[in-house]
Amino acid sequence: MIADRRARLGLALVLGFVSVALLGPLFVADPSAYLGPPLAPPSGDFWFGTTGQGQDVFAQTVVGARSTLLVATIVAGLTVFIGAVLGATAAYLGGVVDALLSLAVNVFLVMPGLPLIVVIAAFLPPGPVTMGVVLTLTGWPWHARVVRAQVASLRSRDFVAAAQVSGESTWRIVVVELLPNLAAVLGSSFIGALLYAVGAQVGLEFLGLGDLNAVTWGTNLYWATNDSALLTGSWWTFVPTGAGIAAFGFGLTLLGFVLDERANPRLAARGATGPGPQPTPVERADG
Amino acid sequence: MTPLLTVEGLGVEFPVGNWPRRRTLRASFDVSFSVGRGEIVALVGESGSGKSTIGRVIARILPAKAGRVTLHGPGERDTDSFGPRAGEASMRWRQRVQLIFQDPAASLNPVFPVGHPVARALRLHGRADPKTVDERVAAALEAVGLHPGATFATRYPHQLSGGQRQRVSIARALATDPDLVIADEPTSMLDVSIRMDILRLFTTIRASGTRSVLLITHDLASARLVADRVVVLYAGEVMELGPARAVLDAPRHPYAQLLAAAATRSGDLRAPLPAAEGAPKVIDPGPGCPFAPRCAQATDRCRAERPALTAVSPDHAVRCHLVRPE
Repeated sequence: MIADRRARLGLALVLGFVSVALLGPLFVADPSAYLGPPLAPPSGDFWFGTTGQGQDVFAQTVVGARSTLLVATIVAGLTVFIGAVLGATAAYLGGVVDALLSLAVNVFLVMPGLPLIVVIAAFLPPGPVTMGVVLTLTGWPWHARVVRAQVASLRSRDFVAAAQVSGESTWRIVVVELLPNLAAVLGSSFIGALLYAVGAQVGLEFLGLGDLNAVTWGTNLYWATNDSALLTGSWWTFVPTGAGIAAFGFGLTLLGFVLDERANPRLAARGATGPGPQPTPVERADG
Repeated sequence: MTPLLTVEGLGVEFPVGNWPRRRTLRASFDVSFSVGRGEIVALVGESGSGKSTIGRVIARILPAKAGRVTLHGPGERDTDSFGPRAGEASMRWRQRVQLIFQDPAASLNPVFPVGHPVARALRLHGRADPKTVDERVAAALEAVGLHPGATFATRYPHQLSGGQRQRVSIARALATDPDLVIADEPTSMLDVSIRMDILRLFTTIRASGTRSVLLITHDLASARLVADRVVVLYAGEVMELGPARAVLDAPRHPYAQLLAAAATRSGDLRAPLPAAEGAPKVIDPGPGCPFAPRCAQATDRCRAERPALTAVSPDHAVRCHLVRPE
């Protein structure tokens, strides 16, 4: 997998942003301090320029990554975990349990996501915890669906029956025999969930529904708009954050593709890793 | 012959469709037969005749709705009247009855090397401890013709051929030292060239002691080759049962005649079959003989009244109104 060019680039991008988020804040200036002239373009003193309040954009971009990625990771972990537990339970137990859980999943799925998020976020006190709760509440149903479908198909496979005939207990069949088969699916679900959590979080904060005093990628963009970045032509106030989001998302997408191919051998067979089935050459007798 | 397994009045039903169009599929109805110690019995019938279902009920993967399955032992006797499936009695049943699946690719977990299922079967039934398990797995694989066993144990299912995978399944089943091995179409997913080798394995399974085999198949040729007795199923009911030679070479029931004729039809494919085409009616079956709608000789009585199993010789019985006891 590491041999795959896309995997290497994706991994480098994602790990790069993660290390920036973890270590970067130790090396940059206070992102909230008023350090220089407002809306100064990039220079030797301020690599990415300054905001309308004279804050260092470079420091804000680096520090903003920490909060955004932390909340996104927690949300992704929670949504995939809740989705996997509920989906696997529904599929393995079947019957009434399955019907009720599937109904709940479908109800959550038909609710319009973004408006719901906006409404919930507007009612709860702003902050990273609210953000995490809102995104987790609206994010888990897709994963429940995916895992339910996977477990339902695995459950009817003969190797489960074979393990039963050998005398394995139910919990051991689920944990030892079934779960490793879900690893690739859970991995690619987690990547998708990260992407969703970053996007939705930044979107909400851009709309002003987050904690405006915190420094995150979303509030960076909110303040850039608030300071009329486009009118004044101060592109440096929003481009670094935007590019960061795009590059992180790109890295995740690349990893997601590779994992998808691992989870779905049919994709791998015709994927970018090698030429697909070639048409049989036909020799014409009549020239 | 002392019986090992007796099946009495076995009935299995499945719900199909959702409310309000929920129907009941009758996969097996009033099925009774027995398997003697050291005997190979073949359950034959077309797709949907309920033969796999019966095998899975005996292997305790599926519950039954009615009837009784009893395993007779040298000392103890285990009866499955389809109560709770946990505990020591259940483990003893699992040790005594093993199942070999039709599709060797689906019955092996793709994420584990093939030594894993064999090792688990040995460990679960106390036939190996952590120190000896690798040795025992290698020996079990070599016993079914996978040499060297230690190397094969570390391979993954996708690295093996279909025949090799089926040998692994057989090794897993034999690992518990069972009294009864149920083989559900063990050769139908394999190349014709290696079917004989696998079938020969079953005769050696039987030759190795008092072990019995219940062979589930639609292939009359393999039934004739290895089975001592044959049970012919149609729409989940026993149509004819008796010694393999008698049933397969001189079938009495019109359905058994149809099966035998279809199997030997390689010569003239245009010759008419002795019955109409069609599928067994397992949802809402009528009161009469299940085969009546397809039977060329069906009478009004066949459509109205279910025939009883009639003995035509001491160990040969037929379920048909047209057959007179001798």
